[in-house]
Amino acid sequence: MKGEIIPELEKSIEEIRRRTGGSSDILVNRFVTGGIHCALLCCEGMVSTSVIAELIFEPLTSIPQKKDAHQLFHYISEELLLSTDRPEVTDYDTLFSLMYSGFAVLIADGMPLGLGFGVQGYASRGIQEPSGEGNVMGAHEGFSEILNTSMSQLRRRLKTPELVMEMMKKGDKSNTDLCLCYMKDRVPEKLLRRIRDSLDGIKLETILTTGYIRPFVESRRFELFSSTGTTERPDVLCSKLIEGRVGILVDGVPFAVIIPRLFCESFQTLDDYAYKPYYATFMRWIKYIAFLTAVLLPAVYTAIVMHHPELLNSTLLMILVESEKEAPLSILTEAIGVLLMYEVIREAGIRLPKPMGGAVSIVSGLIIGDAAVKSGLISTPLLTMTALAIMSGLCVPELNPPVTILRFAFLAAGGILGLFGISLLACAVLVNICATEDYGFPYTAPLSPFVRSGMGDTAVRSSIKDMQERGFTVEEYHE
Amino acid sequence: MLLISDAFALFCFRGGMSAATAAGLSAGILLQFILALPLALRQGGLSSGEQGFYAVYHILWGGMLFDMQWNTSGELYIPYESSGGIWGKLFISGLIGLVCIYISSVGIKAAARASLIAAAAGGICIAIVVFSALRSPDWGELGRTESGRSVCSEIQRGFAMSGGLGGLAVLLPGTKGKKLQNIAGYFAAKLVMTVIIVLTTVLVTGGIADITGFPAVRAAQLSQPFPSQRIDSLFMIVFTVYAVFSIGIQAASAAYMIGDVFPAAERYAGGVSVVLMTGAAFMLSGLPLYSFWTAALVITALFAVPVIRLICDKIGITEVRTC
Repeated sequence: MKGEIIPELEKSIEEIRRRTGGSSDILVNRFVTGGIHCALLCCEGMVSTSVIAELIFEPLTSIPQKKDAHQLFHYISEELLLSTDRPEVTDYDTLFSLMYSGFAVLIADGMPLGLGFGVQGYASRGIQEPSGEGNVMGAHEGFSEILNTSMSQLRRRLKTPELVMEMMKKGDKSNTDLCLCYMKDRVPEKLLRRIRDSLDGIKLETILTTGYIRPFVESRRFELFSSTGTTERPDVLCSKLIEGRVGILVDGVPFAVIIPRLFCESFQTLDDYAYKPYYATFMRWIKYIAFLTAVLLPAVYTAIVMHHPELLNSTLLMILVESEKEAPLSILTEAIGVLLMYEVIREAGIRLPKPMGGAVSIVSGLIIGDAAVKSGLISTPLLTMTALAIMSGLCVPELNPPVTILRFAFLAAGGILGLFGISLLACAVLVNICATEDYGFPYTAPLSPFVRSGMGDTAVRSSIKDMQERGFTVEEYHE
Repeated sequence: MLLISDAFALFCFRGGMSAATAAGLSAGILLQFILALPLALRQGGLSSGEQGFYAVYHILWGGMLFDMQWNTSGELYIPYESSGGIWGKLFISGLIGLVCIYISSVGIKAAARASLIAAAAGGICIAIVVFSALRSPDWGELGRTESGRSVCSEIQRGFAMSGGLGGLAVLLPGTKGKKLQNIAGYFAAKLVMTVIIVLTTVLVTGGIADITGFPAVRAAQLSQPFPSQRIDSLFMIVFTVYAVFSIGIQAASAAYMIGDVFPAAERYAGGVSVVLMTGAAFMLSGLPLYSFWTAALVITALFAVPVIRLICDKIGITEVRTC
């Protein structure tokens, strides 16, 4: 029951107090204007007091005498431009929704509706450089927590009516604003329809991060890699929208969800398009190799040393034998220990207060790392291999969660079953990746299914002119 | 996808090998291409009768591949297999079976995509083995003839080890592009791959080709590019990956058809097909692989069934299911 606005002012205010449980952040400003008793309702901290004082109170309090509330509201609507956003309110649910979104709502005695004024002025973090998507040559601004600001960042880059931003509310308790963004001339109609259907199926009380909505727009099958991506860069989202993808912005979250996402895109950065193609191609292949190194290096090292030493030449073999003979633990145990230690240090580095970061570096780098090697608990070659794998993983930060888990899984497989175990697990992982598909877009495209034209921005990075002539949209990969 | 199955059958090739083998297998591939032409004329999906036949066919061929893997893996060093005796072998085969069940559970489409990447990666490994094998070849070995084997018997062997051709009949309706081009492309690639692997094997194994059990495996073990390093494990990787995908694809195809014929069993079709393949492997383990009957079964799947289907289409008695 939405509850229509009660025309009697006192009763209406009483109803608002009842519904909000007398919450102290609800401000009710009573005043008389044009001879009518009115109240301006707003939520503390959500509105700009200076804007209210200058643009709302001042004009409102100087309204000439009116016959009744209807005439007053007609005058305000027709003759006063108090704000650009002025929705009419007929029920309490809408009234609360607007009030909690930073609107001031005017109600008057004898009037069964209210007038909302967009005077949002809540404190927020300004536009800052993205923390997780570093960039050298491109823009240095990321999305902010304020949805309207994020939308304006997109609009500034795509000044075309083809860019559509559809607002919707999700979350029974949070009433979070979501914004579905797409280029209406590029997006496949079927994709858009199916995403809308998926979003309609969201049954949540709150939406606090993009992770709340991603399961609703992804396949329910177990997938190691996510078929939707996120970005905190407006320029990246714009490039994806141009390719016919759909973006979802969430109020309160400085990340956008991108649908669909392909595996090869995890290796692409905006800088690739700022440098010369030959250098961008080189860097892209470095990232492909880094990904494989991050996942497989500790496992292959362990498998070779434990089960297939014939693969090593005699000099290398002797070096490894020399370093490992002092270590009290098996190579597999050592490797798992080192990797677990790194994960603990990494997690501590993220969660600890910033001033303690230096202490973590000293403890991890000097005390644990140096002492462990000197005491003979860990061999130097193994530490080198794991450090190289960890550093390689940082080249593709977006894939860090699956890479971390796969590194451990491959390590166990390689340590127990040698290269046979690694091959077997690789087959299962490969099939899992190839089975990842949402809305008919295979995650492994354009590699498999092979799309020759897609290689221009996968195996190499063609020139911008060539890519522009190709006029790529993601629909090319639809199966 | 089908090339992986063909390559795996070559890795598990038993008995002597000579230049005549390459000639016989090549002639067999040309003959297979001709016999596959009716497939290009076929319209629509598979009828329920065809689905039943090919489901059984895939289970039988999957069983044969399991048997090949069981026999050949003993020639390679796989941790725990060599030292574990029969339990070690069962453990290793069980692991392969588990991955095959997973492959069949995700479907043919995903298996096909994955096999493309696996084939490319395996191709690189094979290229390294071939490169190292051909560094100092003894070309005189090509003139050596194996006693008691004619080109005709090699053609029969070629058919018997081409069980993957049943998959061609099943998968062709779902491929993009012109069917004839796809068929020709597949057989051309198969011809090139077969000739390269057989000739490399003959050049490397030379005089011992007759007495060695698995010539392709022995060739990989004998061809080493470095004086103080061995790359046997590289071949083991290819062998494992190709074994998994060869058997997994048969399981996925069989599961797809079982699920289509018996929708109630769709959820368990992958597991059921792998279990049936294991049973088939036990049943077929003592029988000669390269027999006339195996070749006849392959010809039935490749030629006879599609021709019967074409005739049925002509007289209008086919009940086609969406496949």
